[in-house]
Amino acid sequence: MTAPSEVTPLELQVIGATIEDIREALGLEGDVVEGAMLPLGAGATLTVDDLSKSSGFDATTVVLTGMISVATTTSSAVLIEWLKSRLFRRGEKHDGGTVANITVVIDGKELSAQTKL
Amino acid sequence: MTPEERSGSGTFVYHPLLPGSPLSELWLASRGRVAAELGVPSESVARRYRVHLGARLRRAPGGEAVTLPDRLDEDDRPLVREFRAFFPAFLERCGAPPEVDWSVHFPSVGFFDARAFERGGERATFVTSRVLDAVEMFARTMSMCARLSGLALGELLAAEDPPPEIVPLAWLALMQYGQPGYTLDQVDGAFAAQDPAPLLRGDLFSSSLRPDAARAISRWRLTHYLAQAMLFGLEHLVEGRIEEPTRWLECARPPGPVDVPMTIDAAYLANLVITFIAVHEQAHLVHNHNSFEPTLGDPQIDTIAEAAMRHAAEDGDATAQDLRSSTLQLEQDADCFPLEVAPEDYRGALLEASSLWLTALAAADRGGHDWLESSWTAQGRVHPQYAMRVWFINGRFSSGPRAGEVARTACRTAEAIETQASVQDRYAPDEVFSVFDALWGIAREEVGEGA
Repeated sequence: MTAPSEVTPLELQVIGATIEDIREALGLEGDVVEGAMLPLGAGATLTVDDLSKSSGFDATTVVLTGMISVATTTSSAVLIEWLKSRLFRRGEKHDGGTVANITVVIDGKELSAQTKL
Repeated sequence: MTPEERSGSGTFVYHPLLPGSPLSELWLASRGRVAAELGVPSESVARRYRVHLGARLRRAPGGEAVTLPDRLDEDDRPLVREFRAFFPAFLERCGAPPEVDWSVHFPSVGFFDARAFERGGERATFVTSRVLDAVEMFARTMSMCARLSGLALGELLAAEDPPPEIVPLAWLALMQYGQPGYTLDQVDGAFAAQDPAPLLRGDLFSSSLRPDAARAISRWRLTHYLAQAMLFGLEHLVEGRIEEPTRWLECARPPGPVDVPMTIDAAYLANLVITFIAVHEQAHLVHNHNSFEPTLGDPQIDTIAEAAMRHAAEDGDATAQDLRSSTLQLEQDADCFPLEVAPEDYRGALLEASSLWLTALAAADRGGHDWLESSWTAQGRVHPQYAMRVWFINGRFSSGPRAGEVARTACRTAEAIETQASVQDRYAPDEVFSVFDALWGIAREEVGEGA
């Protein structure tokens, strides 16, 4: 069994329109700020490296960049499946007029979900 | 001619971009200045810019086709050099806070984007070269249209009985879409033709009127066709369907300078638009729009908003949305900032340039959405549609001869463009280019600059 310290952390980038959308999509609790270590599902912890907002030409974007470390031998594939289930379950569950678009890039793989708020 | 003078027919020609106005004089004077030296953005600011630009490329239409180069080289076209001389001169005369500075970068990136960043006390604004392409295409076309309209206007007004009280010169070419004779996509076969020039000439110059009136009408119709072709091209360009816009800019050569009032200097207009964009983006920093900390609101606005929300909660028939600090409100705030900091005698020209630009950009947001309905549905989470932006800044800043019919014309024109069908599924970029190129050839002949 691989010791926790030997597990390679996974790079994560989350793109949304607001910090609230990102918090909702990932189920983050606590202050989402640079340096924060936040528990994720599937036994993983998210360390927030950078968090920034930018109002651009046609959209305002919030980008969260961080590392996910896993406390067990959870593989990136398991984590990606967990993220998928979380993102897409939320997309099905809600029914309203406004849509939140979330893009998650984990370990180089991109997941996108539209969640109705 | 000053704005107070008339066209000779009793009609007031509204034209705040005319040569000789205070802002135009500042622009001319800046041409003798040395362009301001620009520092290189720090690694941390550049990295954050790349992160956000990369995020947009992932999510925006056409973004996936764009590869972000390892090194972001600065665009060095003449427009950039002119802007680097003009913008510091403009800021020197503005009431902008000292945080607004002239460090605007123009990275060579084939994706339409503009934004500003702040990190550790350093601020930098980035406007991609694709924005410059679009601004130049727009400004040159508006310049040519103003020249043609100026040549035709006397004859056209003489034929009106009674003549209109006021005509907004720069807007004329953008109006009347859908009307027979003024609508480019009603010219049968123009977009399918290998060489559309003869067909377009035949359409434009077939008139049984006396020669002077016929020529005026032809020039008048030509301005509409040219503006519509530009809008079609702009939609393709902004949405990433034109990979290499060089040939578009090569054929859209602005008319040479002439000493007449009813003209628009294309370089001047382009510089005003870039100025508006640069100050708008910096407003997001100056007003802390990119901060995650809650901002202090205006106590009066807070009182009004809270009262409205209370009323809606108590009255079952009323609904209300609190748009304070919403994306919608922040964008509108950023749109207002350049106009708020501009001195009074520059404001009219800047409002005209920014309104025309946002109206042209409405071409990249077509599809029939009513901006009021859309903004309600989106609950302030997205940027306002361009027609809404034109409505907002004109409602807030129009004064003097602009207040009233001119401001309403600007709003209606932006709304009309935004509700037209997208060009995407109708004409491919190459088809639009053939028509654009042919129309520019005809226009050059009409202003005496034919090959």
